[in-house]
Amino acid sequence: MSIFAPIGKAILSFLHDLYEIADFVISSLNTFLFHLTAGRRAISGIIYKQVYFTGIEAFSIISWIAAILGVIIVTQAISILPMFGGERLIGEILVWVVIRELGPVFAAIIVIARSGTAMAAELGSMRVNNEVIALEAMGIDPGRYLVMPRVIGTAISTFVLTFYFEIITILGGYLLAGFGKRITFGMYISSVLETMGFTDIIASLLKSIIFGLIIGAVATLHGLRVGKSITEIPQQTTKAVISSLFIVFIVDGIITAIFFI
Amino acid sequence: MSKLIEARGLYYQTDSGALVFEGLDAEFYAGEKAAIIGPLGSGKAALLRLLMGLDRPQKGRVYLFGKEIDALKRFELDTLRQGIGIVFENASLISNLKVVENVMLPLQYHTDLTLDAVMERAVSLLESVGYRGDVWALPGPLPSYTKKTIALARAMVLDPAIMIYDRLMEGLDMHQSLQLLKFADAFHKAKKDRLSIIIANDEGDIKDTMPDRILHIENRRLF
Repeated sequence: MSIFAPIGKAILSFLHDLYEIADFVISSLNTFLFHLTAGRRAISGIIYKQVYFTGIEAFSIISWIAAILGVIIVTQAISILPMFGGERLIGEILVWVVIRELGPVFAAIIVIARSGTAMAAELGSMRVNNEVIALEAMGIDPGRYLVMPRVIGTAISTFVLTFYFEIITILGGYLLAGFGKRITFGMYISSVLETMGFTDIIASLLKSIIFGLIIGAVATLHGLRVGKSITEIPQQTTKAVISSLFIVFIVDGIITAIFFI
Repeated sequence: MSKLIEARGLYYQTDSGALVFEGLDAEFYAGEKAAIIGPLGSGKAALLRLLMGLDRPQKGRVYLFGKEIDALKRFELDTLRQGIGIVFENASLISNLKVVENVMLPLQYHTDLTLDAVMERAVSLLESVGYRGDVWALPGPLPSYTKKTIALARAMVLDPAIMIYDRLMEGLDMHQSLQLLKFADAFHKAKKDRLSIIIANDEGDIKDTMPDRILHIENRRLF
C-alpha cells in the first residue's frame, strides 16, 4: 500500500466530516429561519441559558488564563526588546500574537473544553433517554429546539469571550509583568493601538464567530449521533472535542492566510 | 366515524436487518378506544414510531388525520403532531427542564399564550393528574409513577385529538396503574371524538381500560 493512502484517507474523512457539519448546520438553519416565529419564546430561553453557561460562567477561567498568558508574553517581550532598543515593537508583538491568533484560538479551546463537551454529553444523554424522540412526538423539531439555540448561543459567547480574553491579556499582562519596567503604560497602550488595524479586529472577531458556530455545530452533531447505548456518550464527546479542535485549527489557518498573506 | 390514523401495507426492517412488519394494515377511528397487544419484541414501539412518522417504513403508507406522512414537509408533520399526545413507557421527560416547564413546553412552543396563562394551565393539569410535589423540581430523581403523571399532563396540555399510552402500566403497582388509567379514561371521555390507543404487553395489562377494540401484533401483522 502506498504511503499516500492513509494521508488521502484522512483528508477524505476530514472533508466528509466538514460536509456533514455544513449539511447539519444548513438544515437546522433552514428550519430555524423559515419559521422564525414558531417556538420563539422556548428557543430564546435556551439561547439565553447557553450564553449564560458558555459565556458568563466562563469569565472567571478566561480571566485567569488570559492574565497568565499576558504575563508570559509581556515578560518575554520586555526582557528581549530593550536589548535591541525595540521597546515600541511590543505593540506589534501583542497585536500579531494576541489579537490575530491566540485570542480567538484560546477562547475557542476553553469553549470546547467547557461547553463543547457539556453539549455533546447533554444531547447524547437526551438521545439515550428518548427525550429527543419525545420532542419530535410533540411536534418540536430538534434541529430548531436543540441545535440552533446552542449553536447561536455558543457563537455569541465565543465572540464576547474572545474580545474579553484579548483585553485581559493585553491589560493584565502589563499590570502584572510590565508595570514599573522601562516601558511606560502610555507607551505600551499607544504602541498597541497604533499597530492595531481594522483588519486585525475584523479577522479576530470573524474567527471568534466562526469558531463558535463550528464548536456548537460539531458538539450538537456528535451529541445527536449517540444511539441507544450510554457507552456511546463518552465516545461521541471525545470525537466532538477532537473534531472541533482540528476544524478550528484548520479554519484558523485558512482565515489567517486570507487576511494576512 | 372518521379515520384519524391509517396504515397500509407497512413493511419495516430495522437498521440491524430484523424484519418487524410485513404487509401490516391498521385503522384507528375518532372516538374509539383501541388497544394494541403484543409480547416483548413484537414491534409495538416500532409501530408507534411508524404511525407518528418518527420512523419511515421501507414500503407502505401511513396517513395521519387523512394526510399521507411521506408527502408532508417537516413543519406540516410537526403541526399534525400537535394533535397527538403521547405518554412513553419511560415517560421521556426533558431532564434539563423543571417539572412545570416540561408540561409548559408544548404550549410555549406551539401557541402565543402569555407565560402566565401557560403556567396556569400547566399547574392546573399537574394538579388534575394528582401531582402534589414541587413543580420547580427537576424530574430526574422522581419515582416512575410521578414521572408518568407529569408525562400524562404534558401529553394532555394541547388537548389533542389522539392520545397514545405506550405501556402506561409498566413498572407500576396495581393501585398506581388504576389511578393513571382513571385519569386517561376521564380525559378520553372529555372530548367526544378523541381517539385513545393503549399499548400493552398482554391483555392482563389492559383489562381495566375496557377498550372498544383489541388488536394483536402477530406474525408481523396486526389482527
